Amino acid sequence: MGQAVLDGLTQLLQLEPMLYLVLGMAIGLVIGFLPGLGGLATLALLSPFAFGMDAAEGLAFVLGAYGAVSFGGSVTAILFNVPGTGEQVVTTFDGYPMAKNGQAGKALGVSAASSAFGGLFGVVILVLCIPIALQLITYLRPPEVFALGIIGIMVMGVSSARTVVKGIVSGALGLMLSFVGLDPVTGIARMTFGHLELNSGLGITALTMGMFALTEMAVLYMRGLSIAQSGRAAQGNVAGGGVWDGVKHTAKNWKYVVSGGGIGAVSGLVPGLGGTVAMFGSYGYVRSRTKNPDPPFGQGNPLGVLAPEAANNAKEGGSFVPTLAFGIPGTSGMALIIAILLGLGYVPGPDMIKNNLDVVFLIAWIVAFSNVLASVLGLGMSPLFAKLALLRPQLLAPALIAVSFLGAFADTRLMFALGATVAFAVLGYIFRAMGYSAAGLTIGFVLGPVVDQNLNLSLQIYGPEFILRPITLGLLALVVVGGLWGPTRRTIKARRDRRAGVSGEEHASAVAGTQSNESEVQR
Amino acid sequence: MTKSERRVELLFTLALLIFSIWYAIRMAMYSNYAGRVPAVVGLIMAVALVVQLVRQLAIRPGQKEEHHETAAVELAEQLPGGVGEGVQEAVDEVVETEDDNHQTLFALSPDRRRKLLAIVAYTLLFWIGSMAVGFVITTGVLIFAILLYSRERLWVALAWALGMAFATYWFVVGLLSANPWSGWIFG
Repeated sequence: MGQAVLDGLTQLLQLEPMLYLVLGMAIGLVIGFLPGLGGLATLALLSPFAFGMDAAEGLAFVLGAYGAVSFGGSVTAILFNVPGTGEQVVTTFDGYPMAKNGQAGKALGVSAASSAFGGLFGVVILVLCIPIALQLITYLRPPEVFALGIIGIMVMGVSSARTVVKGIVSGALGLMLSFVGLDPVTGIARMTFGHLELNSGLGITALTMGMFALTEMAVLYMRGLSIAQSGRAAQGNVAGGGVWDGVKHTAKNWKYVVSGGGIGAVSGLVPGLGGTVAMFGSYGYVRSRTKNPDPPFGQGNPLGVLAPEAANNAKEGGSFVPTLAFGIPGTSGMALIIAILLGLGYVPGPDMIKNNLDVVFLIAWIVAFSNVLASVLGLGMSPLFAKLALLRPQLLAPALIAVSFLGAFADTRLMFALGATVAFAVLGYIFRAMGYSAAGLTIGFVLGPVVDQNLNLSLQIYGPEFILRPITLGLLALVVVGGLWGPTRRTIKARRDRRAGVSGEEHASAVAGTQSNESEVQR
Repeated sequence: MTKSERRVELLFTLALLIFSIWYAIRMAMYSNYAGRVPAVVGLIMAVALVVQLVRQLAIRPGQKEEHHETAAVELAEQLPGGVGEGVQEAVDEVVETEDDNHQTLFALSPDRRRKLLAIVAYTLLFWIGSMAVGFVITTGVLIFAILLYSRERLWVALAWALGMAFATYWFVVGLLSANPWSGWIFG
């Protein structure tokens, strides 16, 4: 394992990968500042460019950008009260009041330092978990790999769709679309209708471009407001002084960085929990642990920026563990990272840990470097690039749609990809409006061949009884329990609320009855 | 759930159901078990869609579809000491922009509908234009047109369109080593 750690570092510390890392981070920061664009759109837009590079360059480019987008989002959350992603709303709670109180620089300093330390904490968790994963994967055979694939699809689908059934439908539709093309075992063309372009499948780039990039652009164009307009007060002096004060404040409160990092890493480790739980959990923790905060939380307390930012970045390291070790993406972003890894020739899961451990550590190094560099670069670029938040979507969306089409074409060099991109964009828009899961569909599409191949192998080797193998049975039972957990919990809660409502009404009528009796007595 | 929302939901579920049954039957017809796994997945999806259809039929107009609570709202409510006014405002804003639904994406105001139609037309024309005259001309002309339609100033539209056309030329020729004037018209 030690050799793999060094190999990963050596692969990164070459001129080209480092240049691509910095370039990716610069693009990520710019995208982070742009209105309405987040990590998913970044991954979708950059993935075709990464496919033409070697693994170290491609991963440095894409993961660098992905890591930096988050910091760009923090900057807009602090300066404009508009979070880059939904979960970063927590950063606005105290970050924006700090900026309004003339402490924008300090807030950015706290955010940068806690993001960097939190990110490093997540990487440490990732590295510590790899030996455990190495032990666990020795128990995995085709039936278990099949079951893990199903878990990955269900977790992603169910956690990001509006209802459990919609999550299942999203994942299943992704699987179904992935089966279009030549069957890897028999070579029979499935659902191609005689079109040779379809023999290699519908194409992951067309899917991600359509479902994430094009749909995002359409929604962005329709809303039509730049973030600085929807945010209420852009600050004149973007960074201001006090950045170093923020860094010192973070170092002084290292305990909250560690606790935030811990909460974030655990949220990342458990697929489906995601950044919202990490950031809110960490913010809630620091609020509950601080007696008599000055200033109070919600009015510009730096700890309210420090804790959630540390958690947000630590979460990424944590969520790489199930993604790389078992092929189960913890977040929507990880679903796209799996797609990118497949495009670069790596299959996340037991095979990757067994055969490409150096690439796993390369990813860990990239995440570590990008966390530190993104903070430094971000602080440097903020004064200049925060003005990008003033760009109108009318200017951005058409240009980025052009980039999406070019990306889809670049992957396959077939004009057919453009039609597929448009079709996926329509599906993506409908999915978004109706609460289906685009990430669930994507991971179904990506893991389709893995599920197909391992199910066929399981049936050949063990017959239908493969399902009764203890680990397989346990994993599939987890899928069922996970699927039923939400609706059952809601039903119990609704019943309890109803009962509480009934007893509350009874209590109220009893009280009213007593009061009327009393008044009658008084009369 | 409004009447129109319910109707759209039902129609989409039905369309998916018909697709999944057709898919499963077609996959089951391939020889050598080539379509076995896809057929099983198609059937599972059909069962899930039947469950969804039954649920959607049971929902009365005005009744809400049972769904996951928006995480940000749920967690904000559980914060120790509750949420202050400013915090609640920020959460509400995120929910408004993050929680896309029928109201925000289908039942559109005239202004939003006009914008959606414009960007859809742009996307379709980009697709057709790329096949007809290649990427470079399509990018330049269409970006110029949509920016003028968006009431941007003439020089902004022209500069943006030329910049994008040059960037596309660099990408197509420099990175892809492809013909920039390809398509039905230029051959």
